[in-house]
Amino acid sequence: MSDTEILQKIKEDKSKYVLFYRKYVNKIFKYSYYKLNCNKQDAEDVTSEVFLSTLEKIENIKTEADNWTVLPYLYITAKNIIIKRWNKTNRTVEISEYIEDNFSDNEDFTKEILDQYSAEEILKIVAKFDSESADVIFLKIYEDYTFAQISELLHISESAVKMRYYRIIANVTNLLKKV
Amino acid sequence: MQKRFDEKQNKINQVIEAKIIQSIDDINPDDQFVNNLEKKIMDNINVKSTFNDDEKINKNIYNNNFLSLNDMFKNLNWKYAFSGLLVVLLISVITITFIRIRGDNSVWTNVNQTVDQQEENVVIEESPISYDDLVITSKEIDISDWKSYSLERKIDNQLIRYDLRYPSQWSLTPTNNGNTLTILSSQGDAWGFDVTQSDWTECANKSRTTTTINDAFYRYFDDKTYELTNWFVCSQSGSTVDQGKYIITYYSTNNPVLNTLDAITNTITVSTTELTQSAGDDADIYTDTVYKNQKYNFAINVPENWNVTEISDDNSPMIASIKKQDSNLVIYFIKVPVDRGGAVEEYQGDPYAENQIVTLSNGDKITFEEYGRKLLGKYFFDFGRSAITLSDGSKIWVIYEYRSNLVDHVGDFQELVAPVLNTIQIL
Repeated sequence: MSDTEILQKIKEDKSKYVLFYRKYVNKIFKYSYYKLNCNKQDAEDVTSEVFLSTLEKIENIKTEADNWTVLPYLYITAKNIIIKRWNKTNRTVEISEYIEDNFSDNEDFTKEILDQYSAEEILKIVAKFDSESADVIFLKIYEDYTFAQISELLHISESAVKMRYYRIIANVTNLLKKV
Repeated sequence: MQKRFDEKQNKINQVIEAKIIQSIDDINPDDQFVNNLEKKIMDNINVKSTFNDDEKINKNIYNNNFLSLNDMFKNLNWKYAFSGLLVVLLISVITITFIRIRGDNSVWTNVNQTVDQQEENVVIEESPISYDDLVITSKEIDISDWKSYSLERKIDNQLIRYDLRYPSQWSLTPTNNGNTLTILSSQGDAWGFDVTQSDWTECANKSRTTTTINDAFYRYFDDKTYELTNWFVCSQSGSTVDQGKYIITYYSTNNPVLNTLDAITNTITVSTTELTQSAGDDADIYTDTVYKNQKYNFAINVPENWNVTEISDDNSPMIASIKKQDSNLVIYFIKVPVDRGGAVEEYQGDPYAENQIVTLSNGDKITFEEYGRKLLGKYFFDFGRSAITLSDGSKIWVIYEYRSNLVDHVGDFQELVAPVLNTIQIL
């Protein structure tokens, strides 16, 4: 069932909201977990807040096209809730930009990444970059959004999205080399 | 070489992307959490539904009552109603006057308490922070803890020195040719400062399309992924920085950064020195050196109050050194390649970057300062460095040292050294 159809059903019967919930709870939890530096408890809190606050506003949500999906709305809600949390706790970005335009000649580095670093280690490094860059990585790699879609969602230009994406990937490479 | 580099980088990118996908795939909420939250959502929906039903019932009651009042109005005897109203008003006035005369204000206190209680129950919801809501003007930015940076360039027989300051939490990365500085904020916004030899009029005319600067940024950020979208200042005179030729650009996505950039721009000062020295056949130092199997002749014209202290042969990393009379200032010209090939020592980075790393032939990595001490010995108190370009486009380093701790600010003796460096010619 498409999101447009689900939304239509929710407007007739509120209990149908659980269809959205069941469809997207995993994605929102993953996103929150990723953005909150793999903190499970905080990710659960944010996920709860996202779905409860969206429930409050569900009647105001309007579909603009047949292929409309509520997912970007949920991501942005999650993002805003996380920013609010960071503002309350004075969270600081732990990794500043680290840029080197030189790369080691080590042929085994690719293998080294596969063997030596766990997926979670890499995820933690990515999540520590500035919030918007981390969003770009998540939406591009995991959600497979196009640069144009990410640009529209995050309200930043497409070229900035591209720049952030490639810069973070390069930074992760360099940071892994320093580990 | 570049193709091989790109292929390797793409391969690494793919592995990192695959790892990220795998790591996100592995994240899943507990079933218990999912079930509990679903129950909570359903409870909320039911409560809301009940509340709405109650609201409808109340509305009906109100409507019914309103209808009966309407009926009453129709049957009202206006004469008795008016008399009754007057009596009620009279009693009210007497009661209030009596309370005030007695000084009993308990009635008003109760009213206030009710208001207070209501206020305590008000829940103020914080709205999500938007960067657009932040208003910072450049005048309000405290730059006392900002970092400093200087850049010197020889343009039209003038030594032009640019001093600027930038926020301490930002990172500054110069390009290898030293002409473009890029400052990155934690938000990923870039600010570029470019010194060019281009004609100013041309710069002004092409302020939004100048290919020279655009090319520089393309090279820095990778031409496939980035393009400049905005130009900030392109001015030779009439602004805060009014000497020399320079272009300042920015790339930004939010206003606070732009305001910070305004503040950075206001910190730029420019000073110029006329260069009268020139090197050539009658230079004081005229020496051969071999670099990457190619022979180069260095001609260094030593100013009047400087002496030649050493001229080295091909086997030494040193080309020559000169000393200023009545001073402890010594300049060493050293064959340390800027690029990464063809030498015992491998140097990564840029002459103007902070915390450069030198990779030695045994694989050890040391800072540039440690390298200087290793090379120049215990008298290495303070140092500066610059790069000179060879005819094939590659560069070597020039290290200059001040054998005294009396002048501990690098910028001070850079000012002394730079005119000499600009007399060097690679023949």
